Amino acid sequence: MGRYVVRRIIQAIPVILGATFLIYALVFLLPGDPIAALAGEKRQDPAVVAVLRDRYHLDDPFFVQYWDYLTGLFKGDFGEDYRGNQVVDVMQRAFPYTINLAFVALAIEMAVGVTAGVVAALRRGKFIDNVVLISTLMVISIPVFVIGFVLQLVIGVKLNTDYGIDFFPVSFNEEAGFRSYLLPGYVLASTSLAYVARLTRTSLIEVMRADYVRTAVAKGLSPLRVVVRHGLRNALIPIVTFLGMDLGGLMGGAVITEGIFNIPGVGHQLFQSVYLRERTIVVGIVSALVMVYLFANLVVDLLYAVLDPRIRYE
Amino acid sequence: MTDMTKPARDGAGPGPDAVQVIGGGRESLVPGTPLLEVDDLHIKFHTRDGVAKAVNGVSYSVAAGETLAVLGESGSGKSVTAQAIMGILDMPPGKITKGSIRFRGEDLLTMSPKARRAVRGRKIAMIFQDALSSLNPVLSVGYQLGEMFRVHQGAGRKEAKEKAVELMERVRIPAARQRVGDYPHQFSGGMRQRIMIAMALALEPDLIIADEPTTALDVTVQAQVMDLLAELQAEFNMGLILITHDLGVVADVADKIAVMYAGRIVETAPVHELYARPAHPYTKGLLNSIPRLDQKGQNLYAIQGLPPSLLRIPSGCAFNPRCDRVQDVCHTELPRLVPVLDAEGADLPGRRSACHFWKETLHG
Amino acid sequence: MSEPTKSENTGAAIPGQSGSGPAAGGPAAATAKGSGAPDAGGERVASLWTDAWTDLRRSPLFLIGGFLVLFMVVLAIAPQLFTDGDPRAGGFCNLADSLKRPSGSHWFGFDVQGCDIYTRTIWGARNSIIVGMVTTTLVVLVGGSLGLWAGWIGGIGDSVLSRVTEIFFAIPLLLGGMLIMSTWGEGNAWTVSAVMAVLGWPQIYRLMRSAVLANKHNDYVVAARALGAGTGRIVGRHILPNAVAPVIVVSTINLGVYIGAEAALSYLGIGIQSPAISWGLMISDAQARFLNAPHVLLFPAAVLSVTVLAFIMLGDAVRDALDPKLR
Repeated sequence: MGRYVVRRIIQAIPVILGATFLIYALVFLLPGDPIAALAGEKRQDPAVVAVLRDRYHLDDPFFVQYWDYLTGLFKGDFGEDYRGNQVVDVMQRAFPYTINLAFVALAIEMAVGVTAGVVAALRRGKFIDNVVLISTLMVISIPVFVIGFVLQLVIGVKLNTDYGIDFFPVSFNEEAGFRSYLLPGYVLASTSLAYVARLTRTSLIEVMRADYVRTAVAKGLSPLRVVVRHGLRNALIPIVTFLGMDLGGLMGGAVITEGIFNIPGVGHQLFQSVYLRERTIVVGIVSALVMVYLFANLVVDLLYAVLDPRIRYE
Repeated sequence: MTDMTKPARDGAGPGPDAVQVIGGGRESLVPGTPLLEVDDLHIKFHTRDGVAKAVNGVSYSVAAGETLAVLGESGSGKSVTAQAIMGILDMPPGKITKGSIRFRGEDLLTMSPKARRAVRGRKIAMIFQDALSSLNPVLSVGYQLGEMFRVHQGAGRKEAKEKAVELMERVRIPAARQRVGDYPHQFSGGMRQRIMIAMALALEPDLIIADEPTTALDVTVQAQVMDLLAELQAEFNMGLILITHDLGVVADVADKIAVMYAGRIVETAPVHELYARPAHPYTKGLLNSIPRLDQKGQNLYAIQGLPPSLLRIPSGCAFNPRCDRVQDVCHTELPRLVPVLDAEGADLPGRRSACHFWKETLHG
Repeated sequence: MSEPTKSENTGAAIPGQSGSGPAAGGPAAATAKGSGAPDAGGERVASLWTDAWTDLRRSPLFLIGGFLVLFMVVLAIAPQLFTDGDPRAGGFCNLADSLKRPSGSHWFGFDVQGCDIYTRTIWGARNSIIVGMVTTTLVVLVGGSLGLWAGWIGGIGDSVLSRVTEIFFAIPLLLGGMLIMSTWGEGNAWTVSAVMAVLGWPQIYRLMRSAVLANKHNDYVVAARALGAGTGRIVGRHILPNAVAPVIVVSTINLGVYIGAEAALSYLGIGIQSPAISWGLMISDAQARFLNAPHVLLFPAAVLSVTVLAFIMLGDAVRDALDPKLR
């Protein structure tokens, strides 16, 4: 197991290198002068510009800049932005919001998605199954930002103005704490939730046809036990894969959701930094997200061994 | 073997003293009184291409300590009947349209699901063909064995594990205590089938249904598993329904045989009589197609044609397209399962045949 | 569909993952079905499609989805058939009409600029369909041929290419799209398509590669080779027909996903740029006044959703037809 983990981490290194290089190259080629952008409409002192350009190695060749960045990265140094803030600090401020949001989303995804999928699978072809199938298809088709606006209007505003329920804040505020994450978390989770429901349904239907489920029934077990112990346990394996891969997607989706609900997380930060040409922040955040994605995949791989004893890691 | 005198088809209810409360002691049962009686069972499957008539009026019975072998090709309805007895038939698409299945005099088909579940596993257990796919791959064998005690007897985790080890030892799995936490894929095919047997035996049921228990195994292992099964059956005085397509497996262990074709029983007989003198052309064909050492050099016999589609069973005798004795009557009239008589006209106990020309087949 | 990374990592509903691992969803199953039978290539594939067609003609999912897709394509080619107005013409918008509600003569009402939303929505179909079609074509051409090549050749080329796809998989489509689009700056239907194709090809690559690997060592392929069939013939007659089914299913569904992704990018202001018409852009422009004038946002959003839905339904129906296991 330990050796397997080490091997997987070693395997992830070229992917991290490749991805950061790709991202760095893309951002390096961003048009416009970051130092000029810093000043806005004001005229800049050429001497100051020269100092700044030198400080950020802007006149070095691309590969030299990338190499400097990479070596810094391995020391945990994400560099500093053009306003002199450490990128690590910026990320440390922003990440907790996004992590909270992603986990709320993941929890909603699992709870609602898996439940809906199980119910649909067990009532296959019945009314409730069709409700799940059709509603998930619709949720998948409606863009997240539309779902976001509509829920914001209906639950955040109307519920408050018409019924006096202000449990779900319209936009993020620190005082509301955990409640602030529920609505955005649901919005962020919506598409994945629909996928999880459909995946659970398909997977469980398939598993319930397996010989070992027939054995479980023949043993005289209760239907609940047959489904939970013998069916779901096996059906969960593909769902775990999906959830692991989806964590990256959730982080990406945060750009939109955080924008709608004004959450000062990494998505929001990233979006602003792209506009402000804050290259180091953009590269830092996207690289960090890629690593989160790879880490989640590693966790998923290890979870397999727990869920499926047939998989043995050397 | 006393049951052989009892006609399989018109088996009216069991005698008054055989009517037992489910769960009553085995010893109170009159020896030879049927444990299980299947009566005129009809099962249909609704498929996309039409209605498949999988079982068309099957009746058989098994007594405690007795082994009934149900013989037939795939699609003959032998496994479907067994699934109906176990209550694990997929419904839909399957549907039991007619008949009854009485276990100790009580009709399983009219029982509440809860009462049925109490019978399943505890009173009637089943052994499946492919142990690898029939055991849950993600649960340890110890858990799967122990689950029987936990669910049916409310045993604790530790007690269940202890009993699982005992069971594994009973079916002679080496190093049972060390292997109780292993997963199915870590065992060999023969060992896995032993685990299936152990699972079926766990609560010492009255009846075991073994659906092709050795088909997936190597020939050498087959004999070991069959011997084990026969031995345990004798030890616990269980009824055993052995479903197979392999005549060789049957000979040593079965008391009586029911041969099925296209959802019907075409012949029943005590095992050795069937081998010696079949009374149905299909049985005869099956027996002739077994390779024998003393016939070396001769062409091997094979029944011509294929089993019929259950969607379109031939009219009259379903076997007529493949039968070498076929006459006009075979196309028009369905042969009933009638008692088989010897040359002097005396009843041959336990023997019945569903052939218009059983006499010619038996004596000719 | 503003979470376009979905196109990479979905299981059953949208069979994204190409087959490695236990999550192998629909198309992999379809491949497995195709490669399971021992008899030879062409006929078996033909009967697979004949059976599928019989099912499809009776599938409401297919009929509704197909009709909607057809309708959207007609809309994209000839918007004039459905509206007299031309949003490109001068004087189309009149500030006096700003944010007017829907009425009998203007079904969808007016946006903040006083432009007729119905006409703009109709004309907006073109860019969405172009993006969907062009991206899908590029992805299938690039990913398909590279996957075919890598699967067939194997060795170092395969290893290197597969590592490269891993890198691409690690970058979510929306994030990557944001980076490239803000670099390029020139947002129109063609550049957006190109960017999404750059990020999207690894998916079809994986699908194609695993289909080739699944069929390469089949008995009938080995037999064909033993009989002296050339590489071109084996690939064309035996390998490709078996790989086509999953690729068609995933591509159809992804066409809808790409349309959604374009809308997301345009919504963020880095996709298609004004004065070009895009549903995502219309939604973006409408968001500030959503609380007072929800119709400005909801009409284009509804049409966008229906379009995405149509492609997903179509793909789902085809997958169900090709994979009878799930019936």
